[in-house]
Amino acid sequence: MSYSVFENNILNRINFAGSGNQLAIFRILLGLQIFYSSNSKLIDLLQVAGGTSETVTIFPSFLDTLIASTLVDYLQIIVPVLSVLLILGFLTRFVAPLLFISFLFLFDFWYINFDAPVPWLYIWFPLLIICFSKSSDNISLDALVFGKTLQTQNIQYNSYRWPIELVSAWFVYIYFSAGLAKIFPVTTLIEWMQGGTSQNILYERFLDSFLHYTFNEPFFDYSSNNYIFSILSILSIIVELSVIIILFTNRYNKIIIFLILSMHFFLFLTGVPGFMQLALILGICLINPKLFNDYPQTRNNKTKTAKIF
Amino acid sequence: MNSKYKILDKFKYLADLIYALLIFFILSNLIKTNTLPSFFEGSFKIKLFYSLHFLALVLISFLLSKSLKKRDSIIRKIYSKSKKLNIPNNVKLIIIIVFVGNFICVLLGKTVYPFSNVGMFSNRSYFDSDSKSKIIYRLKYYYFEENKPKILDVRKEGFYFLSDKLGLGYTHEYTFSTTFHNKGKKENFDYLLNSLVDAQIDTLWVGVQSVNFETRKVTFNPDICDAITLNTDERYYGKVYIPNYQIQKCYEL
Repeated sequence: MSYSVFENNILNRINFAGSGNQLAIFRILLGLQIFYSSNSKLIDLLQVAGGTSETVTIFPSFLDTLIASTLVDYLQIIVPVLSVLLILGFLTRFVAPLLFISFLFLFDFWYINFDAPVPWLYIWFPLLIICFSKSSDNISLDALVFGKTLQTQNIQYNSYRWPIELVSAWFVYIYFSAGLAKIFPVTTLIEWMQGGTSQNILYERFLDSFLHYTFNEPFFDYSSNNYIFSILSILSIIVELSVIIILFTNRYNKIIIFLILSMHFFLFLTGVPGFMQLALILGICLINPKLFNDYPQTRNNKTKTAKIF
Repeated sequence: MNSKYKILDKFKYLADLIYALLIFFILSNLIKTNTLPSFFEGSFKIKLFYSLHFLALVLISFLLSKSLKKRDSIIRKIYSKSKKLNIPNNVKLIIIIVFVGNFICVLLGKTVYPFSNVGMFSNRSYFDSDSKSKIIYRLKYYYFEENKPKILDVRKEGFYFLSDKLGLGYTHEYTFSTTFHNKGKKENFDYLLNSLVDAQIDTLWVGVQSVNFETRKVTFNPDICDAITLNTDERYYGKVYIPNYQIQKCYEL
């Protein structure tokens, strides 16, 4: 039994043709984000003032200590340099794995002292995927210098597509998990749906939010009960859980990315910025590759015969 | 009628996937409820809660195993399709490792860097409007410009296009850490003051900004002693660091 609505499920899409330009643009944006984040003064501040505790990493404690005491200073130089090379697409085959390891170490120190999943959660897996992909075939120095060598390599039909689809799956994991984290245990779901968390954020952080910087005064009394907080909380769960649709079909990607960005824009206004630009970067992989000018139009006929599962 | 059957067919088609998700949800609910140790000495409610969960778990597992035996089982198809995916083998191995790591984190509701349950804002908080004050006080640093007090809105400085005194590199993560996590530490204050050298600010004072949600008015009180009085542990993320020169000056007044 088959249903046309699931024809473009992720397991099929992985085998479709892709766009080298789309993958290259994603590589460049990811590199820019890594450059921006690794230059954050937060790392300097954490070195002198510390930060949060009660965070756990997969690394043995001696490695965490070594990173914090010695390696951070070097990593603060290595990561931005390698990220520039990634942006330029120069020696990407060697640069990407080195950048992945140094990024993982630098943000280990970051996470231990700053217990929020930004920006590393959005970056580390896509960066790992970049290590195995042909992301520097287009818009890169590699293509410029070693162009002929690249062309003679045996490029698989879906070489530009599978990395993009795996990043889409990562996008699904991030938001679907965030939704799940809010609904379990079910016994406390009612509390979440009452909107207390959203109201607390707006109430406590109003004077440090863009709503205050932009409009100065609150729109209404944020300290009294209001159904709007409940609606916002329920909507956020629906939006987060709805991203799972991406695994089954890419037909609704535009609506999903719009809803996710709208949610982040609201959070941005209430004093929780940062997620929007990360969602935008991963969102590049939700764009239909056909919209990029290097998409192989004629060879795509092959994809139409793909089975559903 | 037809469309109704079509929808039912679709659910049939996805049956084992739905069963697997339900098992995951039940397990997740059990683990995160975190009252298992009190099962034997717990109340009837707790015993009923666990009994129903275990019963549902057994029943759905039975249905899943039955469904998996069918040739058109969607999980079997996903498995065989995944094996044949046209991607490098080492990437397949990485996907399995990352999936297992994240799956465990999501199930347990924990983050073990770099694996995560993405549980930001999942800690529910009840907002009791009756016990909440209509006025929120925020202790903020300020400086004098042309003999007038000017608030240093550190969070605003985290955005390059809105930044007035700090520059590139002072990202929103930095401003969050300095405004909330580290606000009570002297090292944090010293770092901030050093960052303002280029902006020709060498002294920061602590004042009180407040918002009255009832009247919707925002005010700023630069009185250095009021800030000291209002600097209590009850403030959001605790006390803010007040420099010694402010405390001394307040005592002198």
